[in-house]
Amino acid sequence: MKHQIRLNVNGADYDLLVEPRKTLLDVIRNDLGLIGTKKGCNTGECGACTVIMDGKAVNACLVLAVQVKEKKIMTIEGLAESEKLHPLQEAFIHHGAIQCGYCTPGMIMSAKALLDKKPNPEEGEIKEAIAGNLCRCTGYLSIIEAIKSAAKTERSV
Amino acid sequence: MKPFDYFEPQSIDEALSLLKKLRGEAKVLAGGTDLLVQMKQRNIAPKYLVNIKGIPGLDRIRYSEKEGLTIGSLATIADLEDSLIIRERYPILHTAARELGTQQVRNVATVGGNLCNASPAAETAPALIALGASAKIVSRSKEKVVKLEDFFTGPGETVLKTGEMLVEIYVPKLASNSKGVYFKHAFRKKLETAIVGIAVLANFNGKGESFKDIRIVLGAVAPTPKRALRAEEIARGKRMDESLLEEVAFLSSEESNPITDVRATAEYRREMVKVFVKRAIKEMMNL
Amino acid sequence: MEERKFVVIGQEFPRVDARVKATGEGRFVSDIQLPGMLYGKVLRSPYPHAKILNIDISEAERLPGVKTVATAKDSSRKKFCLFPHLANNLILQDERVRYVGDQVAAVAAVDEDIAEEALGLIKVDYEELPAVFDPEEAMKPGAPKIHREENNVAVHILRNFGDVERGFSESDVIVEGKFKSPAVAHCCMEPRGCVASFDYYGKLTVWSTTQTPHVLRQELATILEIPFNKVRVMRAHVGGGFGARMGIDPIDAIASILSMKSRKPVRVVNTREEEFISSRIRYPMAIELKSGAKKNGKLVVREAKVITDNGAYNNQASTITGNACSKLSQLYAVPNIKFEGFVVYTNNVYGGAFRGYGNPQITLAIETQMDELAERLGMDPAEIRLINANQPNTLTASGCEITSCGLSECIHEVVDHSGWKTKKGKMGKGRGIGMAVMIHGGSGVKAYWGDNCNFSSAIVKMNNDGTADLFSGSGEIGQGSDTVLAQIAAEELGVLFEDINIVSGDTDITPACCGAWGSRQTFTAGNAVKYAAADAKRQLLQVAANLLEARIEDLEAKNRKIYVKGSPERAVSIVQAASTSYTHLGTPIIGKGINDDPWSYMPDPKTGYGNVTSAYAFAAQVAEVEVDTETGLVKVIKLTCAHDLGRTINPLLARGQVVGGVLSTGLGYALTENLIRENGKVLNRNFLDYKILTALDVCDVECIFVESNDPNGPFGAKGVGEPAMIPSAVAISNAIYDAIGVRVSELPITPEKILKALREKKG
Repeated sequence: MKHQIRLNVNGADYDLLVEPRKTLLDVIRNDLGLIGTKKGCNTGECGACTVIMDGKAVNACLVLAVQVKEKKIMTIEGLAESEKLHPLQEAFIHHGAIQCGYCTPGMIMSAKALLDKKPNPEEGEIKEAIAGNLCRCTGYLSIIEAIKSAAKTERSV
Repeated sequence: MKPFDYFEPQSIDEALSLLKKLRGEAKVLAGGTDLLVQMKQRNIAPKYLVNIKGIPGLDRIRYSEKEGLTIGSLATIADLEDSLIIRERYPILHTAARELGTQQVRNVATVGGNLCNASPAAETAPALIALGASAKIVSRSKEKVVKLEDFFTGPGETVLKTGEMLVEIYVPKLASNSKGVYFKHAFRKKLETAIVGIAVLANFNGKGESFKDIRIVLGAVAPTPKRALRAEEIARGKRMDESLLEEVAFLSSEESNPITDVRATAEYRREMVKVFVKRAIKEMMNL
Repeated sequence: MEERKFVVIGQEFPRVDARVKATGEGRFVSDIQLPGMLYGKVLRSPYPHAKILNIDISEAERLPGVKTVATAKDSSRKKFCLFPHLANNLILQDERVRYVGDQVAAVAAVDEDIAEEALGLIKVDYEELPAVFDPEEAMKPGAPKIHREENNVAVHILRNFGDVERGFSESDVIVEGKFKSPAVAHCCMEPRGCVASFDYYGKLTVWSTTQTPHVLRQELATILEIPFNKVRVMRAHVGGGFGARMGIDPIDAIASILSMKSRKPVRVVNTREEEFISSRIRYPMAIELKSGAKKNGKLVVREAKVITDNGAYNNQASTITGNACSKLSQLYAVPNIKFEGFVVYTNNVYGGAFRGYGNPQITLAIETQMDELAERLGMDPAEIRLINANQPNTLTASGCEITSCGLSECIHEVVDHSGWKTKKGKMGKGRGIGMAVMIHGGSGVKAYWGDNCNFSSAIVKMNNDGTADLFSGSGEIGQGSDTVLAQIAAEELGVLFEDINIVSGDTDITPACCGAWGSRQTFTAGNAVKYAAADAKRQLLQVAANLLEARIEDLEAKNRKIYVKGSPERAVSIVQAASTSYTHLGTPIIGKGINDDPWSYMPDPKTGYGNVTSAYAFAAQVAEVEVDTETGLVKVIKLTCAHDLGRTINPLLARGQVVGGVLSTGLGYALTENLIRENGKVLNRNFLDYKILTALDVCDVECIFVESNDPNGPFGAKGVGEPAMIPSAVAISNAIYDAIGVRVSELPITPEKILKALREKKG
């Protein structure tokens, strides 16, 4: 039996009819066409599907769409303000923190959730925040540098 | 996942009667970080999911000098991690919460879900047992309080019966001069199931040289989290020195009952119980 | 070589696709949505070895939402393999399955859940056959036969250079040992997938997670029996390769067949679990090595035997084993070599190319023994390596023509930067430092699709506003080739980086290239791009010569200008030259470049003699570790890496390759990664139990580039992608020996193995 739900994603409301077994990841990708969030493992281990739900980083593959309710969801598409990229995105680009790019959206969202909570994080806190985002390409060092740099930029604004 | 019907009770009562009605073909959904994985891997295929996260009032963390700590079963692991009260007064629980999964998982996984999932390797259970925690279980007809060390009956199994729900966890106020340490041993720093988990809580005498009381709880080395009772006994009331430490560590290891699996051999786990009980006690003594 | 000042080469431009990937606009295979698209799933064998007696798809076909079901009957039954003469794999089996995960049937349905359900309705009658999983067991007489009646040895390699017996008799010190390298999974963050769309023109359009678009096109067309120009492999972003996506995967052909049957686009993507059980792996190897050296440290001889677990079907084990063998004479130019390699069938999943291509495995053995020889001779491990280091412009016993070589410089750099002299043997408390070096091809080899085949081609289309389009058949899989090739084109053409628009990989638009593997694209595709840009530049210079009334030989192009050398005020802009050509002369400017890699050749199939690659890459790495002797946990404190890559086209991206190779693949290979199989079943089929490292597990990495300026590489450049991880594991292993005096010669070096080695040392 399908359920009528309303999702708030990147500031917009969407009314949908979904099966309970559909995850938030399935719905944002297939029903809302927001394909920036990636499916890497589907079991909450790799973090490629990380989105921000009411300010907290979560694996969208482990949240049922019907569970979300009034919580506000932010995906990678909601980060940039039209042409202007978020400092995290700029930093990732300029620090070489992107290679194949598959982990990138999830990684950036975990970083955003961290910086929103802790604008001046220590290196250990950065690593902890992205420990649930696996990357097979970069070795993480450039990602950590990018997040530090973005934090500095945001603080100076 | 296979299809299922989905319910969102708005009260404990509604949840309980639903669970009773659905006669064991329903699973309780809270955080979903264990349940949904098992359903996706097709280990289980419940016909119904009952989402209890909408039930108000079950996610609070309260502390009073008189009663100690009360944790609602729907409090997330991240709530435990962020709670200043827990960080200040029960640091062993703060540590254990931090070790669980990854940030994304901690943000939605609930304490209740973690305990009811009853993985022998769970992080919060040994810490809570060391703290002397108990669980409040309610059904339509009654409520009871069960010591957490009696809550687990086997891997993935608890004393909960169909129609019962875990609603709160109580942690008594700690005696003064108490110290606790939790170690999770694994091969990576995160995204790991514990090879062994050791929680030690001790209450020291005035000078801090001997234990008035001690609890040693072993995780991931038996079908359930388990207290090393014999080891506790020989340590209780004694003055800790190198040879007692060896004996306590050795006995703890003897009381463990680990298996060999893809992660580690039983021999290695037994050896690690010794290593980490020693390290935990040494760390407490220096604190 | 005269040193020129570069405008674009050497700059740290962010990758051309970084912005798109940072905003979520990346288009990976599973992002491709086509109208009416169906979702495909593959039915895989649950048995490691079985006869298929019957496949009944009738119930699956009747499930509402299922549009088509495919079995081997729907395929050409053409066997496929990168080496056609070794081909014995089919994209769908209907006679025999030979590993858990082997493809038996496939379903296309309106959504994934229905496709999944339909798989459960396909009834396959299997008759289980005895299976064998260990290659040494598989070599014994009486072992279950997997392909051939005589035995399970798929390929036997024998190599002999010089005189090994004399070499050992002349050696003053000899060491021997056994080593094991495990089954390792690529763990690309994007699972393998393909969207195939077969339209009513009879054209098949495919988006695939491929490293080799042109090769895939050819292999697909061959297996589906349609003309090459009826297959188009489109460009998609690719979420990692590391060798796994080299050449066709059954999924590519399966998606195509489902599309041909249903006349709808079909998307098939592996689940993560399918990735762990059925994706290519690094070939497990058991290595026996014996090395001999003289008193003065000079290596005289090496003898090795390697047994490679081929898995169920032929893929690249023969060249990978051959590559491992080649390093015996290449690294340190050892004059006397004997090698015997057995590539053995088992009922495990078959392997494939994985970053290093047999080199990490053999380097583990070679570099461990270098340390052992050093110890026996009372020499510092850095010293013995310097004594033996390859030198530029030398010829090895196996016919390799080393041109550019910065190995000695690499060793000096890591000694200087790692604190080697103050730390080696001096740290105590479970801390140690260790070194390893490596040689690898930096330009690809002529091993595939023919006997002389390592080409790349490119086209540069100059536009009349001074910008240019660059078409290259290369594969961008995250390593950054698009960016580097654009830089090479810009430098050669005399324009700026942002003036180049690179289109790569689309087989309808780009000219052929053998693709991304063997760390080849910077050198091989880079040269093709440079030639194409040079061709276009020549045409521009011709126009400019007329405009400036100068001789073409006196002109130079730089910074969007064409000017007379020595009189820079006599200049025209490139825009002016281009638009003059287009609009005034009526002639478009198109440059063509073909690099057929004239400097290397396929080695003699019998002896293995030959200059297998045009440029050789070198590196040295030093690992500093701390070992917890109670738990066996090894903490890597720092890795100091010096890499000779000829010329750093883009230091930001080159650093990305080294740090990524070392931390994201090297450390795991050394310490934590092992695909654990029992009776052919993978036991650790998720990220929880198959341990690639997280951000919390990283260590400090210092990266130094040595620019040996290769005479044949584009602006002196050669490859760096694979070298990054080749010496890391053995540097760590050597550091562990320095720390606690034990060697674990079977990777991964787990805590349990450390404790066992310590116990054995004590007792």
